Amino acid sequence: MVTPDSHRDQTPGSAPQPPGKIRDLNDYAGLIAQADQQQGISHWQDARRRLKKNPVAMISLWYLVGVSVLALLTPLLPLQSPQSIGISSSPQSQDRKLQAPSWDKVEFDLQAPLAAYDQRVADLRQQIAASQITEQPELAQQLQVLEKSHPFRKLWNEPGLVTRGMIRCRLAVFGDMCIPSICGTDILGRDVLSRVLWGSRVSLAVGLVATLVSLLIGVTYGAISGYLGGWVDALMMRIVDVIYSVPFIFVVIFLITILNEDTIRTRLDSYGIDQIMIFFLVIGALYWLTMARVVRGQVLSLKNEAFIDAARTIGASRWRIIQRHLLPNVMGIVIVYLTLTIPAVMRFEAFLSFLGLGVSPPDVSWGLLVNEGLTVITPVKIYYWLVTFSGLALALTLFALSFLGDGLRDALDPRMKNRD
Amino acid sequence: MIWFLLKRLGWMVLTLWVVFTTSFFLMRAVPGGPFDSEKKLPAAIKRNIEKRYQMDRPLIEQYWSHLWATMRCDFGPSYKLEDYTVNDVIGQGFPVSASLGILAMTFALSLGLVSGVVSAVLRNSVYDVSFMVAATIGIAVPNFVLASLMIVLFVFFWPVFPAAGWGELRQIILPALCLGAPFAGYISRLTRTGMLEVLGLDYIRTAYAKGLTTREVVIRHALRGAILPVVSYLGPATAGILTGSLVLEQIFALPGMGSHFIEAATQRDYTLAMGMVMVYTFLLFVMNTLVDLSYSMIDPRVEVD
Amino acid sequence: MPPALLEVDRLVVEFTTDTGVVQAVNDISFELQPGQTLGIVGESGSGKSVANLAVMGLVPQPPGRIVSGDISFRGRNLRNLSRQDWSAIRGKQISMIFQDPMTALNPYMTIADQMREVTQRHLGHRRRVAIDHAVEMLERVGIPAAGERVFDYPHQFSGGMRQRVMIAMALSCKPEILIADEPTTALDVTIQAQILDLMKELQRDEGTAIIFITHDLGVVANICQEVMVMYAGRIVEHAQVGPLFRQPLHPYTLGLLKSGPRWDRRISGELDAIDGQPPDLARLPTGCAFAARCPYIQDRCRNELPPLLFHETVPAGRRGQACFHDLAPSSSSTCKELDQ
Repeated sequence: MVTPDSHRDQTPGSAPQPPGKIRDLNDYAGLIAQADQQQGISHWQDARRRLKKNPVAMISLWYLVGVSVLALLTPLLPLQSPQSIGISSSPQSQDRKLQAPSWDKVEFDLQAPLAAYDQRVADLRQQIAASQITEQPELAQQLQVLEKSHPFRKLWNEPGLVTRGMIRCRLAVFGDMCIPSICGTDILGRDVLSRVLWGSRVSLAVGLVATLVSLLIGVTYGAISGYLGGWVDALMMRIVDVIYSVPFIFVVIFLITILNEDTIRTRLDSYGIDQIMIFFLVIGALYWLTMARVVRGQVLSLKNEAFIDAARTIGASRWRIIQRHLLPNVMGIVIVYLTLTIPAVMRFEAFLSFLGLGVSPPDVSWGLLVNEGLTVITPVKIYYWLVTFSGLALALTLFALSFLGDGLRDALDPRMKNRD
Repeated sequence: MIWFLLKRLGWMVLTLWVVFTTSFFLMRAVPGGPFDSEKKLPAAIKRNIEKRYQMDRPLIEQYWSHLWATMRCDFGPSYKLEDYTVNDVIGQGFPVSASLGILAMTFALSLGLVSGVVSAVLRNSVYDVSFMVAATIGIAVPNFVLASLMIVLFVFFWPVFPAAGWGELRQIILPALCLGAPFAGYISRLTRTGMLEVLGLDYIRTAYAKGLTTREVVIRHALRGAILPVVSYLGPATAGILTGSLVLEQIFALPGMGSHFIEAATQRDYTLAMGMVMVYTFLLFVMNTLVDLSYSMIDPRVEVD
Repeated sequence: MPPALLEVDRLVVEFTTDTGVVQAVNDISFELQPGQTLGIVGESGSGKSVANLAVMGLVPQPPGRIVSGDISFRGRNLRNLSRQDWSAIRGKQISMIFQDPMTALNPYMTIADQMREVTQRHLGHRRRVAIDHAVEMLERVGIPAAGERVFDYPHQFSGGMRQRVMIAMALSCKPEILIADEPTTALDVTIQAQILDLMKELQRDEGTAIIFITHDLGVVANICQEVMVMYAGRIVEHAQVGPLFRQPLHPYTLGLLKSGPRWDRRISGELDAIDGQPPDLARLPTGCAFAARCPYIQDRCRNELPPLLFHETVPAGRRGQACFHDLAPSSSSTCKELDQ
């Protein structure tokens, strides 16, 4: 570890002058020049160096980067469809149910239907352009109906514009080639590999977004509470205490049930809030408590630190103090808790999806996949590939996150090492 | 002491009241009311509920009467199960859940404490490393993933346990193991950290200087200080075990409170779900109070207030 | 000379640290006679505590390691003792009290429980007898209402009282050697004096030999007959108390004496501090460790290690110092300096 003292030792020619002697301005100028040359190691650089020395954390980091990239690029990969049974026109579709992993080639025939569809859309567009104004509304309606039959719709669950573009790219690059069912197929004959990868998008997104929601609420709440102090702080923390002592997960499940009531659901849908969104909000609302407590504690202790006073005495502005002194110090602990919250949230998502209260078909997530795998386990036959691959994906990711979290905690705050 | 318990009781009543009120009004917020939606209720239940909630009365009056009933621990009839009151369902499910939870907690505590102490005393040994790897796996892997792997292993490949059901001890061993595993891991890590910290303290050196053996020092002197963090973790652990039992009762088809709760939630049996949330809140409060009391018993410097 | 109770011979203790291997105790030898009080003086890190932990078999291993040397108690070599044998000696024949009475007692156990552990183990007392014995010991060290207070927890006692409890506990099996590791450092001055008086009194009654570790020369003058001065893991001077104070033979000892105020001398101006810092134990110089701070430095001090040489002097008895410079010829001037 580099301490301020060892910096001093490295400086050449800075032999300490006997104290008590008055140095002239030139001496000071020289000292300042020397100080400028010196490369201090910032807290973050130091932390990064420590993290790099931790092989387990680095492997976890690279694994997570890999999984995230895969999840982002999933539409570009030559995978089978996660929804439909191969391609509906395929004659094999019936006997593809619950196939064991194999390298057998799978038919994937999308280019032709897509070309046909494109042709029809283009024709219709032309027709619209060429037609009379009075006919146009009717034709536009026809176009809408036609778009509902887009071949992607059946194969992927309501893909957005970006996703569609990516799938088109993939078709342009790989054509009708696709990866065989190397992870087997499920009870409806859907490719497990494809479902695990598409599920990763939902699982990771939930983990990230819900954590960000909790971060936003938690940091704001904690910072306000800690900053204001006094009775406001006491009241705000008392509220947190009360919420803590409720088995909140049960309340959340209760809440989700009510929000899933058909009438409420349709109303929320009309506001553009779909189920995954509710999910983000509910989980975020659940996990902000610890974050709020931690941030409050940190802000409280920082408020009384000598270096804050020191900054004030040399005339630093309030904004500068917040920016240079408070934020970096709060950041460290927030990042550490972030890496602890993400896996907790992902586990909770998997937990709720597993119980059938979270992500629901046709969306897929890892928790849902494990559940599907478990339901087809019978004493007669186990379709191990259904549980193994999704379970492994989930477990490995959670594993990597918690190792990375431990590593980050040790790197950012060496004093916290070996503490839980 | 008495003052402490009274204060706790006060907070519990307040919390239960908040939970009750929130749930009650959320239930009523369902458009059209929960009891005359498009779903057909069996006539008997509907009559029961309407009588119980005095549906014709104003909302506030219904609230008070329902609150009064709840205070007498009467949660009313189940919204979905004919001929059952919520109290019946809870009464049937509780023994199952309790034995599962107690077994899981026992397992988590015994395994966690022993492995944590061994890890700390034999620091950096093979035992230490393997226990800590196992603990991290136990913490990271969700219990239903663990359960599915265990089922594949111990029910199908090597059939030592039955897959599901309730009635004999053998049937809850596997679910209790899966339920306790993450907590065992966490307790193990807490114990190891606490133990390492305590073993560096002066009074441990004093104990050695008195001529005590390592075993006596660890058990008589070090353990008390080392398990304090574990004791404070027991509150959250209880909450976790209650939550975890939801899933494991489902997987292993145990007729406990958890599986009823999930059923209630998915079937939108509001009265049952609400009653159970209240029971869970109560359980958690009792456990937290016990934890605080035992904390002050272990550490003579801590006084409850 | 009667056979020594404790004999330490060329003891070397190493610690492995982040910056390298540190010789905390470097080739020290000394003897302790029954009933004698030996003071060990030195600043923090001079190895005085580690040497005595080695005598108790309590050097934490790892990171510590006894590299070489022998420790014998009544002619029995303690170095390769089994754990059981160590347990039988610790607390029975050799016991120890520590610097900070606030942390040296287990906060989770009553005084009775902590005290009866010792006698139940070593004297085979039953619970009832052990508690009676504990009360008796507490009374002897001057704890009022010992019969009730024995069931209290450590946090209910003040610092001085806790050190009394420690002493009572350490002496409850009538050990032959008591190692006191800075027992008064953490206490108030008035309490310090009481504790020292108590130790002297108990020693007179029981005839226990005491090794008294301290950095306070005043305490040494008060309680010890013989003193060893340690610096950077080595003994630099070993003498009877009187001669040492009258005429220190090692520059470090002289520096220590001059740096402290004395009630019998008038202080004019500032106290003399020893210039410089104690050396980094991981990077000791080849020569004398004190060379860099020594006002009497010679060329050979930097390259050669001065051995600890003993000689008999008529009035002062056997004494030794590890220094090439002879402070004795200029003794008159030294004494004058001190007299000023």
